[in-house]
Amino acid sequence: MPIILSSIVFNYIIGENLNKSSDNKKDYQKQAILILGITFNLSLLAYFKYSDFFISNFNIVFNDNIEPLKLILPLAISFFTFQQITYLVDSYRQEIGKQNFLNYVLFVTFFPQLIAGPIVHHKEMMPQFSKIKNKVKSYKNIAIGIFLFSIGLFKKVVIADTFAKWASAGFDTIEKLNLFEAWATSLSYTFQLYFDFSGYADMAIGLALLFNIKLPINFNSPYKATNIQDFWRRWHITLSSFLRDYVYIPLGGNRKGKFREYNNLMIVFLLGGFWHGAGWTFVFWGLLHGLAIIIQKEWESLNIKLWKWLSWLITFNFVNIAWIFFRAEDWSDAVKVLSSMFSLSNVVLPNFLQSELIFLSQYGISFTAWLNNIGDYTVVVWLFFAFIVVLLFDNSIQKTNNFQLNYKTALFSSTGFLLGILSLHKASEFLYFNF
Amino acid sequence: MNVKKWVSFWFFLTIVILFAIAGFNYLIDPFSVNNNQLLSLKKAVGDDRNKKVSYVKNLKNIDNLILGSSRSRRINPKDVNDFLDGYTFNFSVESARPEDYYGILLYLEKIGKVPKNIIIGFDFDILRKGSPHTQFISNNELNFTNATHTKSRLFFKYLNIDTFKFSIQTIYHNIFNTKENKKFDSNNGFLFWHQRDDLIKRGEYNHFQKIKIHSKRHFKIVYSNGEYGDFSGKRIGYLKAIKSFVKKYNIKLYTYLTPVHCYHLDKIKTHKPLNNTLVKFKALLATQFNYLDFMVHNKYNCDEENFYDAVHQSYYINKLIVNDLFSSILMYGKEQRF
Repeated sequence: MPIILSSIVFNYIIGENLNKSSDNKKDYQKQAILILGITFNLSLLAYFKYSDFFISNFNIVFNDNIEPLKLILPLAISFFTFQQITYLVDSYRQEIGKQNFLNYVLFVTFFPQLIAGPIVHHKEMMPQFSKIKNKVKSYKNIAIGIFLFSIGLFKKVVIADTFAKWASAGFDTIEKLNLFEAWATSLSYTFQLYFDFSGYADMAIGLALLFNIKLPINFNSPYKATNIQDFWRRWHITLSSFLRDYVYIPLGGNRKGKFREYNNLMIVFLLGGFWHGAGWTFVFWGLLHGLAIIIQKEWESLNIKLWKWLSWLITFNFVNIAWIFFRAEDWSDAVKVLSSMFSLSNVVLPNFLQSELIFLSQYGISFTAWLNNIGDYTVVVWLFFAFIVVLLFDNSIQKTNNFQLNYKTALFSSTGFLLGILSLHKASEFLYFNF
Repeated sequence: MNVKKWVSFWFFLTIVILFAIAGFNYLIDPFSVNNNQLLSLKKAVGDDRNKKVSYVKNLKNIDNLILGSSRSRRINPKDVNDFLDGYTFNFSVESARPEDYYGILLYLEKIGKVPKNIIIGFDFDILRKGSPHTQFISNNELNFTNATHTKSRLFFKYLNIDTFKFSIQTIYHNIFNTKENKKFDSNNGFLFWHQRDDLIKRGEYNHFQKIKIHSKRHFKIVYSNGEYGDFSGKRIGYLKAIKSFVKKYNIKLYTYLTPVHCYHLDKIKTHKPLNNTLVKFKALLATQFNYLDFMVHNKYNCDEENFYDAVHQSYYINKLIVNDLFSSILMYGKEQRF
């Protein structure tokens, strides 16, 4: 609490200073104030989120033994830091007028999105807070809000937390995974992450709508993407927008030649990876995505078109494999899962196929309890339905665009809500709370 | 349908179904939380405490009593009888805490069945602060503390999809009169069957995986990610009360600290604050009891086949523990004896 409050007060004062300083202060003075503000925000984030990472790396490089600080990560720090940096930068650019302090506090602490986004921009939030019309009860917004919230709750508590069980089981027994288990583990995590994070975003957008506040969408069926650029236009959209507007474009974007463009892209993705977590696996995950974007751009320049299904297959598998680095506790764990996924020496088939396929034993294929390390056969059924849901159905936001007021939608969202509430006792915390 | 009607219908539908489910769960009470007995149903979910209190009620006398948590349920009274004469009963129950041990002793005192020998398996986490187990609170014979269910606990018990599932199962069992899977020997309280036994027989039980996953969960939930917290004064008080009780009736007491798999133990030991708590816990326990410490790193505890998960040991290990408790030839905790 004291951290977020002091951060708000500090940023508001700096922002106000930048806003009113246009006439009587020189450029370098304004720049100094802006740098002070950004440095404060980044230092706060660096101290709480990255100090142990820096200490452990320092220890490795200098063979030292400094004790890690083991600080508790203040909830939402990554999100409110970015939001306030945008506020400072736009104040510096004179794009913001004088702001009401209470509205500013509300902008930073607006509870539906405070903890795990979407990362909101003051330009889309502040005007909504001061609009008189938004202070009047709107049944339409309440209905859509309830509808979205119910879908989000169901996605998180019922779907994501079910996949979490299998993903955790797999990542906890990395040494013993067979080929199918390794794939089931990585796919379970891929779906867990999507349903967890997009479930949170749906709930946040739904809750905000109950107060007549429209939050930006954060997901648009990312697993339907047919290339990496497309994926990043659909996944964590508000983070991509932030990095584009406040890092990529200020660095020069694509205006200074190919080399600089690729360089800028790589910086953006490395930063994006580092933002997600203080670890080299996160940085590597960012690096993989950066490389993928560059390869895609090069490929596009060759003008060779791939079949759509093949593009999807490559993109989805790349994303799935990259998530392994995102999830694994360290580098060697990630490599172990990957080697199990692509090694033909550990193919295990279910017992019931033994009588029909016994001849495969001569090729080193064994028959046993098939997905024993993960759980049971239900994981296959869930994965199958997850693919159908993410690939063939409209996403929750598209559903609200075609929202119809009838008993069917009421029953649908009430069922989702009830199943979510009744399963709350086994719910785990949101993955993005850690970022 | 207009928007106002949609919202009203949604709220109406959701609230009605929620209340219907909560009401149904309350009525059926598959976990015996409120013990309402309104429908006199055979419950689908076993309540160790309830069952064992009923067994004890019908016994003539108890000479030797085994107390502990689920970790001690696999101590076979017959093994104890290799060393002690008389009738032995295992009153180990799921997630037992000092109030459970003391509660059953007070009950036995009340019904005039005070044992001559008592064996207690203490778990490292028994002195954590917290409310007693739901089954303890619901059991009038054991609950000497007059503790009541907290509202939040009741809320989650009744508004819970698992409770709903077991309510349906209870109804099913009662309509079709299906027999409950018997787990405990009603004569001596020994746990002789568990679902995992069938998996082990079929070669489908992955000990290593269970130990690793369970250890992680245990660390997170039972130790709150390493934060054991202060010891509960109340629970220390119950341990002292047990000591006085034993003295009062001249009972012979055998105590031990239950083992955990060495993967789990290493995790505790490498977590500085938790390891400090373990050291303090052992020291505190030693001020009250002359116990045998099986929570150590040795070849038995590092063999994954000897554990079902991070903290539940096999029958084989329990047999060795019994041997060490009564025999001068120590096999298990040799070098750790106090």
